[in-house]
Amino acid sequence: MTIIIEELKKVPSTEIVNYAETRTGIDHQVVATFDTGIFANGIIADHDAKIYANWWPQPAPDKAEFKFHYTDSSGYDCGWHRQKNEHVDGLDHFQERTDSEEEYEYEAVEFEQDNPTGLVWEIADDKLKRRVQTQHDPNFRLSDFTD
Amino acid sequence: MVTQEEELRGTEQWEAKTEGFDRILSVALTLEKPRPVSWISEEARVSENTARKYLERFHEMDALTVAEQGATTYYPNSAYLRFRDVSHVATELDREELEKRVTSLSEKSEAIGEMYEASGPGQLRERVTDEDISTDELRKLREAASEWESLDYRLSISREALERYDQHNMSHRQQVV
Repeated sequence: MTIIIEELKKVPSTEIVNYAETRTGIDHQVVATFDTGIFANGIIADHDAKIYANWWPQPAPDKAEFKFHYTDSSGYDCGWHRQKNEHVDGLDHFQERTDSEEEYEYEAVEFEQDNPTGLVWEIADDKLKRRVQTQHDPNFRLSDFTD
Repeated sequence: MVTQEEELRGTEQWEAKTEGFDRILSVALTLEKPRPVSWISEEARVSENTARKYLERFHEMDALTVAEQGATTYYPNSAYLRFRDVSHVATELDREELEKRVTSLSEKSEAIGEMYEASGPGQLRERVTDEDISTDELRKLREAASEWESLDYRLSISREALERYDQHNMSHRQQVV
């Protein structure tokens, strides 16, 4: 998790990176807030926007599992997960919903990077920005981009 | 204001904002299995020659181990990672803080054992193989086992840092002088 924290701090739009309690309550996850003036071209003035990162090493030969999940005050949340899930084949998937009352929509995803550091940049500084802009900016189109 | 077309994104930004040396080191020290130079250089966005040069130096420093698997492969040296983690904790915390951390982590580890009615994360791993378990339960168990392993690792690091505290700080002071 130290690597995740250090890299999230380097991503230009992140502001505060700290530890937070996990769902299991056993160990820590990383939570980062954004400089809303920089993140996604400043389209969201939302100081509640956060990205939660978990990294779960597994015994060989299994790959480490992870979760990078974004939430904001509009109710929208989305995330890139490498975890077993009933909705898609394989472990790697993207999920999103526009409201916490709704069911998630899932789709399989392929990552360009296969190391923790590169994944932080690929997700927090690219995939996430595009999804947030698609959600909050009517002029932004995801049409030329697929996860 | 940069336009979408002009703006560097993701791994391009990573490449622009960081040095090749740091990218190779962070990729190499987080490898989950031995990897050849070609794989590491591609992930770290550096040329193979540059990657090979740095990886060999990291190997000479005992940060990485080398194995021949058709090609030369590199893998983090667990003893080096452990030494680095112990040194970091020993310089970050004083003796009293270390003692508090060991106590707090020990209590937490015991409480988790009671909560899951297990003697350690290995027992949670065994439950993962239960055929009657749902996907959601399986995911939660794998999360819990991994987090418990991480907590126990931090506990062992803190204990070792406490044992070596005086020795480490004495040698550190000598180096500074």
